[in-house]
Amino acid sequence: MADLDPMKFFALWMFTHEQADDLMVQSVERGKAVAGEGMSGGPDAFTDGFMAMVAEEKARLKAQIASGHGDEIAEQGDEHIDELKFEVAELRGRLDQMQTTLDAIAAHVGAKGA
Amino acid sequence: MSARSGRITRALAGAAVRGVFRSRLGFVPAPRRRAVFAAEWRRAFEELGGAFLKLGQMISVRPDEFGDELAGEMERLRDQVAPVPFSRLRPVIEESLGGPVSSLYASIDETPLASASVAQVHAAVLAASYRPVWGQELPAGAEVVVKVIRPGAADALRGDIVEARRLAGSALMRVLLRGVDLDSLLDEFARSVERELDLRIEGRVADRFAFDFRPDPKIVVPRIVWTRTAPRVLTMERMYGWRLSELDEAELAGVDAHGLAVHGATAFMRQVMLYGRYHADLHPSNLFVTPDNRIAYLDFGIVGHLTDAERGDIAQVLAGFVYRDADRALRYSANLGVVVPPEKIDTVRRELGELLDKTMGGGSTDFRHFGFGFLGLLRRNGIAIPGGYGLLVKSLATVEGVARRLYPDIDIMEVARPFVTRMIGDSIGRPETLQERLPAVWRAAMRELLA
Repeated sequence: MADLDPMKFFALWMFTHEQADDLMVQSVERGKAVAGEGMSGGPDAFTDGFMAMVAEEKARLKAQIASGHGDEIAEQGDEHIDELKFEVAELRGRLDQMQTTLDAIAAHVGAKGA
Repeated sequence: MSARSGRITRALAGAAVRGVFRSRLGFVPAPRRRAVFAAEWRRAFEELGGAFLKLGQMISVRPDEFGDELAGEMERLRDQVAPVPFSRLRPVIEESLGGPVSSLYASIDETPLASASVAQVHAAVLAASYRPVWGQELPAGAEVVVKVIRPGAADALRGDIVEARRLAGSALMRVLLRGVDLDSLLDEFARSVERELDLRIEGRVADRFAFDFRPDPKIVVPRIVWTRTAPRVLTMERMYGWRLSELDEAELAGVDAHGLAVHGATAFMRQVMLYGRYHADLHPSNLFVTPDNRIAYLDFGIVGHLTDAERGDIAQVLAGFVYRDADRALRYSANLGVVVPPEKIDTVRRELGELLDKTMGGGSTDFRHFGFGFLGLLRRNGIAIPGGYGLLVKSLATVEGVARRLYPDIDIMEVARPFVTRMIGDSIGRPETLQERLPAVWRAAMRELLA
């Protein structure tokens, strides 16, 4: 095999990226057009719609980075704590209800005994 | 034969005879014939009341099993019956909660707010503060509603189910309802009635919904007072607002109808595709629009449940509908139990494509016609439809109807489009998805490069 020409390698690398970038931009444009018109058809429409949303996400991410906010991991942690809090609270609700039932049974038995 | 049994037989036989007569011995076109019979069944169910009202409600959410006409007609059933005097409910409350009503609540209004076949609802005021499972504390003096199972309702419902089973075995019913699996339907119905007779189940579902919607200030779910709740009594926060059927009044009060319609539809998608629990009985009287522009969910009698895998498949099926991709819709419907035999794939794909073009194309969509058309298409081709699938299609169609009551021009599929796209996009990042899909991605890329 002939030695790989570095210039050619980087040119190919650059060409591939340029092509991919162009295709991505076209897909985003088509996806945005679909959003405006309402409906399109077929499997490619989904890919374009998805790419348009990825572009929106990228814009949001850029804005987030520019504003210096990026603490989503902390939010995820809060979610797990919320789940745990709910489970405990639900258990408390069940106990409250069981206590009510017990009180009702006790009242019933008391009334019978009297 | 008991008096009730005779009444049931007469009402149902009468409906059948009138149906035959009004459809000119069945010689009118099939859709007209089905509509005539559906109206007769609905009238008979209304006349019979009791379990038949509940059965009608269940039929109304199962267009997959009973067809569009009957399900649509049963939507019109009104479960409103004459109230029982409060003196008959008082012992139920006192027996269930273990004390005199005067010590359980600061006050209770003896005139009911609503009266249905199974339960009656009264306004009351809390005597002591209560910390609910989710949300802020309800202070002493907070307004609540007390839902009480009517005395005798449980026995009457169970008796009607026994009667319905007896009638289901008759040759006439087998002929009139051919194609419907009456035995499993009645089994399912009996289970749902037992669930409805235990009001604690509804309370638990309400708590779960309140938790699910905690980040959403636009959705409100009544808080449950568990110290005043038992199988036959449910005490919950009172909601004020307008039922969707009273929307004109709400609009006059300056409610953001468009914002609420979009939000309500998105909230339903979240229930289905994120939480895996959804309110499957969203008729207009189960939804309130509050004066502060929020949506209040009420009555959690029928709730659909979905597994993680089902949620992913539903997102894919919806993406197929939204992007008019018949192959995607059918491929993932198969995972949900809608299996199209190989010899029928081409026919079903073609008919589905035509239906998508007719109902979901051209800038405006009509999910109700599409959804029911799709179920009809599957039925015509002899393809079994799982109950959960039918319930979901019906629920989506109902959400569209509810959203359109708020804002007639809403396009439910436009609301679904970003939602399902994101759902599917998010699933790509899961390690198990990557592991499953990457080999195919690599093979496809190499195949294209080397072609």
